[in-house]
Amino acid sequence: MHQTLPTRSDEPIYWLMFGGGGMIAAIVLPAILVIMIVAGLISPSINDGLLSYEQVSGLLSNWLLSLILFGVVFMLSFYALHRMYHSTHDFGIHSKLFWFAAYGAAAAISFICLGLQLLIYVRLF
Amino acid sequence: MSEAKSFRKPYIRPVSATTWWLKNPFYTKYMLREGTAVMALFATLEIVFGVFMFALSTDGDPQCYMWWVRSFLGNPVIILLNILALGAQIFHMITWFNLMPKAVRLFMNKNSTERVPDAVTKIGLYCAVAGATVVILVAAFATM
Amino acid sequence: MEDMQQKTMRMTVLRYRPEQDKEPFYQTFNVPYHHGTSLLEALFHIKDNFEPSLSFRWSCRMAVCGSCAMMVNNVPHLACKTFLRDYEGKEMLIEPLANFPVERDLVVDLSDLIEKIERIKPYIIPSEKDAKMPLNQNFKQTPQQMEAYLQFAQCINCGCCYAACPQYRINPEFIGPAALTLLYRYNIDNRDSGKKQRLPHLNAEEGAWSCTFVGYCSEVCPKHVDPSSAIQLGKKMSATDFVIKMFKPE
Repeated sequence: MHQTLPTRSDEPIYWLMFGGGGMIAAIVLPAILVIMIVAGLISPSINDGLLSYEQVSGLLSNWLLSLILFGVVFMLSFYALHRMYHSTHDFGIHSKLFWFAAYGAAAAISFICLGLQLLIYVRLF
Repeated sequence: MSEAKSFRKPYIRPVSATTWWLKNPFYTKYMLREGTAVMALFATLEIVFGVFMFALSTDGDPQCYMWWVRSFLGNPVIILLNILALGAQIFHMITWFNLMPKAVRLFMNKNSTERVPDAVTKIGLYCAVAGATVVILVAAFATM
Repeated sequence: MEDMQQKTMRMTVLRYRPEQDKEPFYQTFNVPYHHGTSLLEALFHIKDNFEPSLSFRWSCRMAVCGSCAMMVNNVPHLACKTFLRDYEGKEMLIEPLANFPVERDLVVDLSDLIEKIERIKPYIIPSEKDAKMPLNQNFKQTPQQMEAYLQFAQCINCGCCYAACPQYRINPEFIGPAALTLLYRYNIDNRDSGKKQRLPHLNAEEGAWSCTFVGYCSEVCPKHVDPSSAIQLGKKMSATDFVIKMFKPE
């Protein structure tokens, strides 16, 4: 019999982010991918076509749209790396190193994206 | 304690730590479902890469960004990978929504013993996808 | 009648005799069967006619006791609820329940499952007020309050869900589907006040958080308990408790 009570896991934090990110991946990522595929096929010019320079600068100079884009990147990166970290367990690798690698990478991706977006916003302003 | 000799010798069957999921189609589907996260990460990195290239272009010369959108997104390998990612995300969406009713357990009203049918939860989620997709695509194509 | 026509099934059964075998081996039998022959009856036939030393557990023969769970073609099943007619044209591979140590032939050691079910206190723990309630008074429960947990209370502790769970195999510390389902079932019972005693087990790494929602437990459960649903609802309960304790530590 277990006499001492087990310690609480901090997994709820990551699980809640995973749940939110998984939902975003299901709801908005298909549309984003369609846009990237079509943009790749039609090769836009600077001021004309899907994902043209002008269209994207309109997106990134709008603070609300930029913030939404950051939210999507943040949730997606934590969702994807959380799932991949758990897959390492499924392959029989149980390493704390992978924990730091996964969540560290997710934090780095989000942080870099936010920094770049702020820079763009300030420069376009 | 009894003095009788015990012949107990429990045998633990070996299972491969790396290939167990190939033995049962259900497990294979599970691993594929988890594997879609790799493509979600790929798509996320593409977006961040695009933001990075755009940041390089904000000094007045849009060349860097134009390289990203024309040569990188236009690269046949990247287009193929994006189509693969789209397929993976649709698979993720279907499996995710199929499991979602299990995490939602609601009754029709506060006296009813009848639960909200799984189909209602699923239809709601698919409507959300349809709505979001239409809004994003219309916004993207209308402003181009 | 075609249904009564006798056919033959090729069955391969895992054998393990701890007093003489170093490791298990397989033995194949050709078992006659008709439309109504269950796997349990086929095993009786083998024991009576071919191999008297074959060991397997059974009791009720009607999917109530949960004794005869075993692997059929690598899928956990109750032998009494599995019919040979559903495998017509195929062969059957009968092995003891996966993820548990093999004691002898088709008998496994379920003590880990039993300990985990015990650990989460699977019984109603009344509040102090209710404990003093006179015996001629009842606990009150609305039909909806009963419906909320009834499905999760159908578990017969057969162990099929543990045999189906890859996470239990990867990490044997995992409390596992059946025990977590019972934990949730008692936590949402309005007659119970033991939630505080059970939550630490749910909140632990080896509690709900070792589950990655593979969902195979719900697929194989012979009583349609849907353990994976109970575990996801348990995760929501645990996450809610986590957030509350963040703002209001004890």
